[in-house]
Amino acid sequence: MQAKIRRICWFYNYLLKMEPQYFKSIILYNLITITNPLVSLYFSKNIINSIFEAKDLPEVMVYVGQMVFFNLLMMMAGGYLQSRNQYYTLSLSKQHIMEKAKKLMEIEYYHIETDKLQNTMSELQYLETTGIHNFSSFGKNVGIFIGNLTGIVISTYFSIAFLKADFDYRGFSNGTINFMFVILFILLNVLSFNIISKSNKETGQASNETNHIFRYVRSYLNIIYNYRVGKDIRLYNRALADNVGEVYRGKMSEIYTSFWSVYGKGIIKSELLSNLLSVVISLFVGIKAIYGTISVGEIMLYIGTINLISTNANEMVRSLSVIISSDLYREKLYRFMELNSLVKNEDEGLIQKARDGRWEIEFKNVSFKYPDSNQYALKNINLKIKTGEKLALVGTNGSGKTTLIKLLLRLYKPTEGQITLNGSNISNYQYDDYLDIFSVVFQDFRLLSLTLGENVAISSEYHYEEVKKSLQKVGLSEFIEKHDLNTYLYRELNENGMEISGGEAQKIAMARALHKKGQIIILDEPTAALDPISEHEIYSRFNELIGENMAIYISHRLSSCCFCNSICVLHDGVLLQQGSHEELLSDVEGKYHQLWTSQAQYYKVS
Amino acid sequence: MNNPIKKNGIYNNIIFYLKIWIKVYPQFIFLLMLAVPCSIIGVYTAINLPKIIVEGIEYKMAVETVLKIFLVTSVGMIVAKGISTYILMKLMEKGTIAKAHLNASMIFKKIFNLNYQSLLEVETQNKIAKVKEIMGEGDRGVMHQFGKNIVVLGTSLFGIIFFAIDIINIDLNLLVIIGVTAVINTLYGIWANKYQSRNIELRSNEVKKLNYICDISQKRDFLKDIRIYKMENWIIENFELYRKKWLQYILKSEKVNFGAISINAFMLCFRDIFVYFYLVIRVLNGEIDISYFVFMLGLVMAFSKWINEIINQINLLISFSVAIDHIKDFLDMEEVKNCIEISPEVKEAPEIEFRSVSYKYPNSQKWIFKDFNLKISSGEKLALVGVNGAGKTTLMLLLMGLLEANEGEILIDGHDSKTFNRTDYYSLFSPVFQDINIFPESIYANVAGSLSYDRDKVQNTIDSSGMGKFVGSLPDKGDTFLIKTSREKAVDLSGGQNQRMFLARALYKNGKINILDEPTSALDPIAESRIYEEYNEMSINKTSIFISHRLASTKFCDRIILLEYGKIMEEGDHDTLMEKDGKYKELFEIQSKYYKEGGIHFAS
Repeated sequence: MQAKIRRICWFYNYLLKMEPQYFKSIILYNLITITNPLVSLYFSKNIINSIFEAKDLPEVMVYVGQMVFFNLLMMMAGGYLQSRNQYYTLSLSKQHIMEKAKKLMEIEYYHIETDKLQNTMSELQYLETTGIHNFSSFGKNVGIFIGNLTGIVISTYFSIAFLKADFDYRGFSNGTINFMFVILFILLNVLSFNIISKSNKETGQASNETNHIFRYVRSYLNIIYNYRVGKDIRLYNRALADNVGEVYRGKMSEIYTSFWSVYGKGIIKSELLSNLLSVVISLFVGIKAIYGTISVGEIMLYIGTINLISTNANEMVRSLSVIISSDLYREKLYRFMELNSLVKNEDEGLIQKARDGRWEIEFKNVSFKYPDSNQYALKNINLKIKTGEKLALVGTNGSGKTTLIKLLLRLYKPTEGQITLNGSNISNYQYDDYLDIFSVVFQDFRLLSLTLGENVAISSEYHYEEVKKSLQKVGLSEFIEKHDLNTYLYRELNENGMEISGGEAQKIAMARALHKKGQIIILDEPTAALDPISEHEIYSRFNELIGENMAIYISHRLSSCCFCNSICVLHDGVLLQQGSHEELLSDVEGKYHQLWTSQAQYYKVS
Repeated sequence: MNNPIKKNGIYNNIIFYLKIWIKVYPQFIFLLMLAVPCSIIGVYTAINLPKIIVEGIEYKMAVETVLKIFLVTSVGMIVAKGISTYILMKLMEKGTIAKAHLNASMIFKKIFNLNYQSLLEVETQNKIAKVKEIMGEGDRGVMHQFGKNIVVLGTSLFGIIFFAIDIINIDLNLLVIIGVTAVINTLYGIWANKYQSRNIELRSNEVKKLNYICDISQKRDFLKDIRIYKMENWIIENFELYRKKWLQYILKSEKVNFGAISINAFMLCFRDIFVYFYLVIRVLNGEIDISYFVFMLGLVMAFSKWINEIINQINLLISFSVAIDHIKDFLDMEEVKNCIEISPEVKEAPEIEFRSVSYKYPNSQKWIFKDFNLKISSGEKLALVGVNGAGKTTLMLLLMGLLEANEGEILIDGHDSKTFNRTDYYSLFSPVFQDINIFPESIYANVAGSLSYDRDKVQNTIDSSGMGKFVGSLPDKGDTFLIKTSREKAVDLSGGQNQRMFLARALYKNGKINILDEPTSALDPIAESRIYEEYNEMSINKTSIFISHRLASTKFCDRIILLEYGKIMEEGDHDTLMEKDGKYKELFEIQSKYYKEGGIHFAS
């Protein structure tokens, strides 16, 4: 319970930090809209009483004027606040996504590739799309709760006079009647609370159950509406596709029928009950009125205010039950937001010491298991590489090549052993500085749909000539003559953006790496999507691009190893062979020879 | 956006959708006819309750009499309101079935039966995107709420007529004033609605950009680059930029919303003054009772609420009608004609001929092929090589009948491809495509392309495609579901496994013509050489076409065609082409130089 309350406070502050005015406006809005009917009731009592007593048109119209004026004022204020709320809510919805993204950018990287975090993210995202868990529902219900609480106090204040009204009916004293009424009133309200909370719970369960059906249907829809699948459907999957119609029809009605039948039942029950309650209220007020203890004007007031107590109380309970049950979401969000951020208190001096332009990386008995895995992805790796050297990492898929790079880049920590840079453990360096010395192109590199220039410079502001030079170096001179640096890549952010081929994208990614001016260059299969001419072009430029820097080159295509000083053959996480191309090829029994011949046989000129 | 779509009118669109409702849920009409009077009775009895009490006081009636009338009316109210709520809930429960029918039986069918070529057109894709958006709206969308909205509209319309009599009895002017204030509200409402939909359209552009930024900054495959290249500031800068742009639209939109509330407040203020004025005069003159006065206050409020509801419903109907216009616009697209009953007979390994085929993509000026001629003999193994963008894939799409040549014809065993029944024609081919499209079903179903299949046969093809060992290692073997996001325990395959699954799919289909479009870029050398051998094996007794830009992979083919800019540059088998000393040899040299004995040392 304490933890739940703490999370409510945490979430409140979390939202407040992004939009300081959010709660103020939402609470004020609820106070105004909830007290508005009370104002109307109060004035109409005066109007009716004055009709009875004064029988004078101008005097009655003064009361009418007052009522109308206050109504106008409150509606305007309410409307203004409502549109503010809407604005804040929408703005928050995006800021919140970005907060999550920022968190993803700063936590220890190993979290990101775990299924657990992926599941958390998609759970959060799903919960945010459901009615009760998202923050706008939290804000709304906090407002409703406070507004209705105030409403109850004011309505009760007005209703007290009703209970005091002296009364005697067939031997029942006022006290007895009041007692009966209050008991009945409380009983019906408690019943109503029960219905609300039970229905909320059941609705929650129903929507959880429909969730996984939704997932299935949605993934089908993504397929069906995608035009590229058109050729698969026509040539292979017509039967599967035809089946989708029936699946969709069946599942969709299952989803909505099961949800609305539960939800609707709750609505019908609570409406029946609230109608019953208002009849009971009118009845008691009516009896007292007929026996002459309250005026006609007061009849309307009391019927109104006592009804309001009940509706306010119901709304309050409803909002409270939403706030409480949405803890499920807050708990998940809280746990995500509290994940450890990257430690940044490393020794800052080290990188300065090492900054003489010459680097030496050493893997010392490095072994590594991925989190949640029992198998070693790398086992007892010993490896040394210096500035000026070019190293190739080869091996089949899953042999651990990319994992080795991830360790080097400190995306993961070795399970055993250590990696050193110029003699110091790499984890001792300031991470930002450490990253500065690397220029990496991953096989699954990503470009953003922003401008070409920004993509190379990774910044909105950049030195035009420098970016241009980097692009020219990777062989995009012609390309940048046709396309300005301000041209957007792809079409997501700009309709006139350009569609680039896989090869062009790879070259841009390489330009990005060059522009970064890292002194250790790592290329993870950069030629996979290129045709022979571009491949050749890239290969022959390779030396020039890298210059005297250290380079690590990953490939399963062995042709790329020929221009490296040293080749490491990885297999199942073990470093099998290391040496020059000739040395390795001469070992006829070795893995390298096997890999080489399997590929080279196609190119032997017979 | 350039081509305005055909407007069918609100009335026609309602009838269109109503027909679907009645077809899938005939009780609808009955519920509709019951719900409207019940809702009106519910409101009417509710405003009568205070009247009964006040009347009792005014005329000093016996308590028993008052109680009796009061209780009878109360029961009436509770029952009437109960029934109308029940029906509304029922309509929400069934709200999806008409929509699902429209989607499953009409829209999906249309997507499958459209010409593939027209699927590629941007215009069609926009139409489909629009339809998808409408269909994806869920139970808050206008399509789902159609039944409920019709009930609310009916209630408001008939309620107004019913209540107008009482108002006219007080003063005709009163009706006019209520009417005028409502009309002013309506006019603003309609304008605001139009403004809002324009605003939403404009801002959807911005929000798309904003969502893109939000999206990539959370995606696992972007996060590695984001970290290594320290993109955080750059991304947040752009996020703030697009958020601000988007919020400006929101601000405008909210101003218009506030305008609507303000106008409504003023109209209510204006209306109330007159309502009270007329009623108070009548009471003071003794023309009406206090009880009737109380009753009329309630009635006017209900009356105005209904008028506002009509405005609201009209706006909803306008959006509904626009949605239906979009759907009809898509449904009216022309389908593939499939009127041919019997297709010509085709041999085991058919002969293929392109006879002066010309092709350009729709809306494009550039000819991809102009007067293209090629003959592939029965059982031949043909390689199509050339750099990216040479037209290799397009040529295959033409052959498979997915694209239609602008000029010329494609002959299969001498029969024009147009003389085939579509289904029969598609069944001739077993292609392996470059892109990966998987259904959220089991591996078996994906291989068979159907939910009903011969288990042994599927397992056999999986084994011969080289993924048998992998599939055997999965807990549910071939019954394992694919696409992780679609359900728990489903898996995603790696690039290489996907390729093998598609190979199995091609084997299972066992078409007479094999087409293999560059399936190897995700594979390592050993896997690559195995795949080529298997491809070769499965092509016995078939006419097959191999596409690649890696020349080594197609060396074993009977004939190699080097394609460039839609033209055949060179052709012959590997040895002939090498002797020719032309473009092919140049390309081959470039690729093979690293593999020649010893290799070439750039570094040394």
